[in-house]
Amino acid sequence: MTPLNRSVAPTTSAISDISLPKAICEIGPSDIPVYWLNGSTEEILRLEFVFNAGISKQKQLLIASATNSLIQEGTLTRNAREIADGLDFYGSYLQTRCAVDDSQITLFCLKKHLNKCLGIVLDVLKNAQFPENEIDIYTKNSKQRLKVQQQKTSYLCRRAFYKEVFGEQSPISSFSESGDYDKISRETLLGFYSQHYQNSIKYITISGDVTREIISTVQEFGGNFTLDKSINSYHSTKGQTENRYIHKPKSVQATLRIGKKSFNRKHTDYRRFQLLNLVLGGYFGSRLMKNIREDKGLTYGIYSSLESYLDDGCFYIEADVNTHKVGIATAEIYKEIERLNNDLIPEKELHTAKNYFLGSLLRSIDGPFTIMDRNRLLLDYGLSENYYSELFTLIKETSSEDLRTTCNLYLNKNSLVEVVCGG
Amino acid sequence: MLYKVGSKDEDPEKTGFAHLFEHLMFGGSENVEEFDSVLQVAGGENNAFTSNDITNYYITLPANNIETAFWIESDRMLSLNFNPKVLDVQKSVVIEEFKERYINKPYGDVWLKLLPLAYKVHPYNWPTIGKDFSHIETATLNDVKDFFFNFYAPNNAILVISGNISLDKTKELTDKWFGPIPRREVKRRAYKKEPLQSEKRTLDVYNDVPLDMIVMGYHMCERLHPDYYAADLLTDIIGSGRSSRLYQQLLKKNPLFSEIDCYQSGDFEPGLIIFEGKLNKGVSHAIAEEAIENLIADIVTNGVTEEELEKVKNKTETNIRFNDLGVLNKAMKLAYASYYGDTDLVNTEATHYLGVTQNQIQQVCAKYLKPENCNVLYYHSKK
Repeated sequence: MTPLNRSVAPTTSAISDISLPKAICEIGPSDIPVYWLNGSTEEILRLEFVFNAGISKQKQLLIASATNSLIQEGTLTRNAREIADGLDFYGSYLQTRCAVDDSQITLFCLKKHLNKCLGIVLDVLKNAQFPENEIDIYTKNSKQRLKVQQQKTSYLCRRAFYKEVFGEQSPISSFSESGDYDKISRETLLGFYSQHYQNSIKYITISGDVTREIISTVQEFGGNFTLDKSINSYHSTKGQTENRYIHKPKSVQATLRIGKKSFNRKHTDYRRFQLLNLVLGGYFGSRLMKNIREDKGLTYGIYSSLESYLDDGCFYIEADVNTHKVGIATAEIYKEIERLNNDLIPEKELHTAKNYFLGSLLRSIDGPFTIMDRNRLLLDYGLSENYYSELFTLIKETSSEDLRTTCNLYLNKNSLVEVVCGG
Repeated sequence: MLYKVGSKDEDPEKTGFAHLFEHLMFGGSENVEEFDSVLQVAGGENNAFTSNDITNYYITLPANNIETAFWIESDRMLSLNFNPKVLDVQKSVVIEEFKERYINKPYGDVWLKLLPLAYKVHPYNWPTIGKDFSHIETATLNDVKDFFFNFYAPNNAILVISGNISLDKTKELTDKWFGPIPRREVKRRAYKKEPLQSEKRTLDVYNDVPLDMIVMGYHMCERLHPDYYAADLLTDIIGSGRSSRLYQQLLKKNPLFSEIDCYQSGDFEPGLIIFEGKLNKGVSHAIAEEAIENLIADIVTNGVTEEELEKVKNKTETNIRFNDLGVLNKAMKLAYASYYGDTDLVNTEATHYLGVTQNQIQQVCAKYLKPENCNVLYYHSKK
């Protein structure tokens, strides 16, 4: 046997294809699309009930998220405790989530308990009462949590950044103050509920150990609603932005965000921008991480992101850095952006970034829930079902020149706004 | 790859070292200069974490590139390259991590305060990040070498592979890459068991925090003790979810708290059952503490209902099934079970939980959740 030569890397093979298992859409007797995806032997299910009831739909601060949170706090026939007991008893979880573009109620349960849980979910969606005492508790507790958030440099920096980039009116920069909680009334919640939950739904997804019988049951459930086809439009047009510094005394670290308004997933250059973002700050091997953390030790972590919304988007770099080193960190960040604007990314680095990009795509479709999440992106943004195979080809074919062009187009130093919060 | 070394193995004068060392494991080994980029080229990703008991490294990558993982993981077991610059930079990184997670946010220092109060002799006395950053600042390259050759040995590690690979292939690759690495003598510091606590301990914390908070830590049993499953379910009955006793009684019915949790620390050796609650305006620490103690006393006197127990068993069943979904979760669970000394636990865990009785829950509650076994932090907000 030849001795082991550790200095030679084992051969690796490139990822040859990415095929995303497609969620199947069935429109039952009602118009409601039910998307399902089978892929587990564990007898578990995840059901998502998706509503056009996100922050972009509210006319008063906090109403969308408060309606979403308080929906499970009492119906005509069940009080909050009975709802919680009813679901918990079967080991099920009901999660609520309210985002800019939509809101949802997610049920996690074992297959054998689905019918019992669906009864409670339907009650919550049809007969929620928003009792005054529950609103009081919610308001008080949320104000307490807000107080804690407002002590964090990361929160203060994020808030200022979104307001600077999207303006005060955008649902993306919809942050509230303590007093806004006092303006929540039961009537407003009931109004939002009846308009956006009680009668209409966007779609339902089922993933996990799905059977024919389950699909029929859920279709029947959908029959209680009509299809909500409303769209969200809130594209911001804020022009000039200014750098901001927020003083937070006695902070031992400062949070730093540098970025700009950009575009969303539907834009033709989004995918190249994603790859460029990866090289700059999107993974552990990125230039920012290597320079600011691994070479200079100025931070525990620095990353850059593209954030996509149905009607807007942004790009930013964020890090918590040593208070005394903000200047150096900022200068180094701009230096890295300049390098990408001027010099070509070496072949080896680009090769690594591409392989990592495709590898993380593969990892992101491990299991029925994450595969459904990927399918939902296509659905929500109206992207072609070949999106991921096209993405695969496009990433493989992108050259260093292409990325420099992308950088020249979208990452100009003068277009970036800088927000710092620290001591 | 689980190494059987954690912060409990540290010198009390050089705390935070196991975790600092975890960072150094990415700084290059004898034949692999850049651990991360080699893996990224293969489409993979990795990370690691350190606990009181263990240090765990994990890699996820496309199945056909698995040999790359064997190569780099075995090479850093063989030997690191002990680059002085890596040590210098990672000390700064860890100090920034210390600030980000423990100092620069309200209540980040709970563990820094609670552990020294609860543990007087056992090395669970300090959190994995360390007691203080001066300990991290003084680490030398010699400390690093000693630690490596003492603990990072094949006979002190557990390797788990999960995914689309056969047993034969797994054995072949393991023999090829790890087989040639010799055993090393592992010396552990001797430490004492924590003696039974006989009196409630308290500490007032005056910090720049926005709300008053109370934290109560009770000593519990070790992971392999027969009481463990009952104690774990007890914390669920008390504090898990919206139907739990804490949520219903002290957040809803008599709203003393705006947030309240009960959980156990999940340590291998005797850990803690922790209550952590933020007080509503006008509620004193004394009232909050009494309310929690009354809630416990009610279980000690009257036990829990059959429905409550069935509920938390059902929840546990759901959790186990959902957790068994991904390849990474499966690997982690196997590594832990093997570390505990009972690999079959991955199959029998659910049965242990299902076997718990109402009586056991009541007994465990009386045994562990008693005032003289408790350590309390009172956080006073700035008025």
